[in-house]
Amino acid sequence: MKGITHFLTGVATASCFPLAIQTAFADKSFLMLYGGFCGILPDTLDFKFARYFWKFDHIVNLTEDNLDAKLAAETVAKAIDEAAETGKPVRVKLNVMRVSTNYYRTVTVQIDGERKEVTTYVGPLKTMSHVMARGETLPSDAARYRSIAEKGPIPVLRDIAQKSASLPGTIPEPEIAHVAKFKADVNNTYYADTEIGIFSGPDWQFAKQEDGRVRIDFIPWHRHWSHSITLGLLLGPLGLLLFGLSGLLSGLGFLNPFAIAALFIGPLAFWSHVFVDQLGHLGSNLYPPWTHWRSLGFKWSTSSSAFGNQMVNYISATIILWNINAYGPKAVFTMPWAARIAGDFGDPLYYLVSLLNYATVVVAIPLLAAYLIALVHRKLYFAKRMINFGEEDEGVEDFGGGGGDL
Amino acid sequence: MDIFIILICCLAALAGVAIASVFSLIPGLHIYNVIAFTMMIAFAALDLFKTMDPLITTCFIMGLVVGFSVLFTVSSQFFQPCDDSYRSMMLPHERFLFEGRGYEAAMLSGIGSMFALLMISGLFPFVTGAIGTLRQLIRPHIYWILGLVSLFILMSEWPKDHGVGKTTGQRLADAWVQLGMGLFVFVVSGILGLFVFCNTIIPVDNAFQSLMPVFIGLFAIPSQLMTVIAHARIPKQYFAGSVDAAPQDLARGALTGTVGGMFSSLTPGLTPGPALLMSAHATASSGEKQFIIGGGTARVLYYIGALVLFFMPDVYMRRGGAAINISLFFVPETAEQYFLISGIIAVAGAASLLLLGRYCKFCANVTQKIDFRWISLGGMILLIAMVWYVTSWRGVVLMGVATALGMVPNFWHTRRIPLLAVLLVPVCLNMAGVGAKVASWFGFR
Repeated sequence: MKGITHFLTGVATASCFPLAIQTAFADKSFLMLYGGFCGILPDTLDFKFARYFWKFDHIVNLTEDNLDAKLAAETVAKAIDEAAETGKPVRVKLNVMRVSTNYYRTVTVQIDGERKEVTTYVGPLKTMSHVMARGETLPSDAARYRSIAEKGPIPVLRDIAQKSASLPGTIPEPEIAHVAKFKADVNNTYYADTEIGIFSGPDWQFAKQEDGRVRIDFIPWHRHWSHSITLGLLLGPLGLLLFGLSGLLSGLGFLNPFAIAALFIGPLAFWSHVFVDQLGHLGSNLYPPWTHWRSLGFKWSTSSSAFGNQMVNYISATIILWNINAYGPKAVFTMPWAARIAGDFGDPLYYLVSLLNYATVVVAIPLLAAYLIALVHRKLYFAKRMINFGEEDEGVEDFGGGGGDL
Repeated sequence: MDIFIILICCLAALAGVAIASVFSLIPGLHIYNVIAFTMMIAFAALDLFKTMDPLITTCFIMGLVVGFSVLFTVSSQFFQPCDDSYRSMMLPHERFLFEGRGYEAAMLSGIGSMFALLMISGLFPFVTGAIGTLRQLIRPHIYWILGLVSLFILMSEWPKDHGVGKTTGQRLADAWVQLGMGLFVFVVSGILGLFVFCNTIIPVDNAFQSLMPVFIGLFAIPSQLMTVIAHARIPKQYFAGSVDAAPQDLARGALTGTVGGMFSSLTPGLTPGPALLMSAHATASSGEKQFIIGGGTARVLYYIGALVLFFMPDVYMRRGGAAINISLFFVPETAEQYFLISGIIAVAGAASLLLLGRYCKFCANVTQKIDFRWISLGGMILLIAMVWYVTSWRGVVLMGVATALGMVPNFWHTRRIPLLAVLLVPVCLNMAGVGAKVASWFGFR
């Protein structure tokens, strides 16, 4: 999921602590910020620190003067076999090619475990927007593999390169593509293809599993110890320390109520990130140092999925608003179902009936409506926008898009 | 309400649109500066001003704001092309200009503005209760909401390096030079904001304009300076007969802009930039057209939507420079006045949108006849003169400090959004009740 989605789930988690809301009316503590901080922290650790410490065995630098599709494909294929033969993890990085402030040269890299082929296709120049929107028009993996079986990999990548948004007329002529073979059996934990595009990378780790297959991990430095239940435990003492010291300065003492609340908010907000990430493809390494592999995600959504992000953010926003109302000194709104029940949000029955009313009318019904709209939209329009290879049905059930899962 | 008054109000609003369209030609000039001038003139001619129905002046200001919010980006878009050597990436509308598609970008933004105007005039009158409830809900929590926005600004800036350094140290340095300068800009802007909020050096008579030199220094002057030294050529622009945008681009762009615009209009101290940054992430906005449309929607919802909250029954929220100036002479009392204002917005909005196409063509043609550098140089001189006139040499000194800070993002390829700490930090800290204490640490109190 996107950074803001994790940020908001962290804030929503903090808002479930009455003190985090009630402080707005008295002491004005910043407990909600600690929730947001812990919510987005795992990605901060990875993208601003961890990835720079990662060492690669093979780095490929293509340039506009040397668009060597063979070099890239052969390097990836050989790395897969090297991992199978040596039993040691092999890491490969293909550096991006920025040709100006606006444009990047793109190269598609497709790893096909069935055919044991790595195919590279030098594509058009793209802007950052083009690269980021690519996933929204990709065909489903099933359609891709059917088409590969029919036409071979290069025509499929040619179709994708020609039909996805880009700077017109910038695909090299004659076309530059290469198919490299590898021998090992593989377990690809990511999508069929990725693109040398913006920012840095892409990169992979190829490592032999116990069953002898080579496991392919995309951006292997991501979602390891930084996205673990284990690390989350440390965020409790950190919160206790921060709010404890703040309490000492303000005369509340070290073990003040805010510090105690932060002891719980930190891990829970951090874990909310870990949990939400399990909805995607990559999963995460949950219990290092006892576990070493990234778990596989549920594959319900991806980080770039508009529907997935919007829905999680909507739920987070409704949780925050509910808690603001329920935990405030005086409720701003009351729910109709609880109108005939005596009491207020402090009474369990009143609270539960109100919550049920809210969850139904403000959360469930709008989400259902949004889901139906998305379903109709995808049937009527979005499927047409996707690159297709002539099949009638491209699988309308996939709301994730193929945009990648960071 | 007297039909004559309504007609006069409409004419006043249209006059406001006409004046806004002239001032919007000057890149960097903010409508609140124009309103402040209007108020200075009004107070100078107090006898005449007193004889007028305050509703007429209100509608005139409303016309100014509507015209400005729809048109003001056109001049900066056409007259301030960016030099890519000072940028880590170009924004979509900047790139469109170099592709001869500046008109297309402006019209897409106009479509976004139209969504917002339709919402403000057509939808808001039916949801005043809901907006009032939302306002009531978040009101005590603004300090931590602003804190969250600040935190997100800092934590959402990802390294733009390509990770090609040979050693870990090189790669970390490549990434953290840019991130570190963003952090530096945020911290120093926050300190500058605390200083201005606690110790204005502007002469007392115009102390209400103490933020003007700071904002002009942080944003307007650096943009103009960069334009003056820019190595760029604006190609001949193409005027498309229709707009190429898919329905989903329109819908998702409008959704992004609506979330960002409503967030910024209901949250004191928040401007549309950070709000749009957050809403674009939250709604998973995708592609350059959605970005441009969302920007148009958010901008109009921020400027006009925030102002209309001042007149809205159940809300009556004074938010932004225009509302503060109007509140000096007009107090909204009835729903009838609110409906009149909604109608005035529709009229002024329609006039502004009708003007938009010709306005863009005019600006595009100007770029082929006059070097854009001269326009920015002229604009810069005008702004400096204005700051001098309103805030004396002290304001110019303040503006100079802010300009130095405003130049930093250009040279270090960081985003400009951390500069908004100048507002976010002091407002957040003051609302949390610790502003004075923190200011005293810096010796500002």
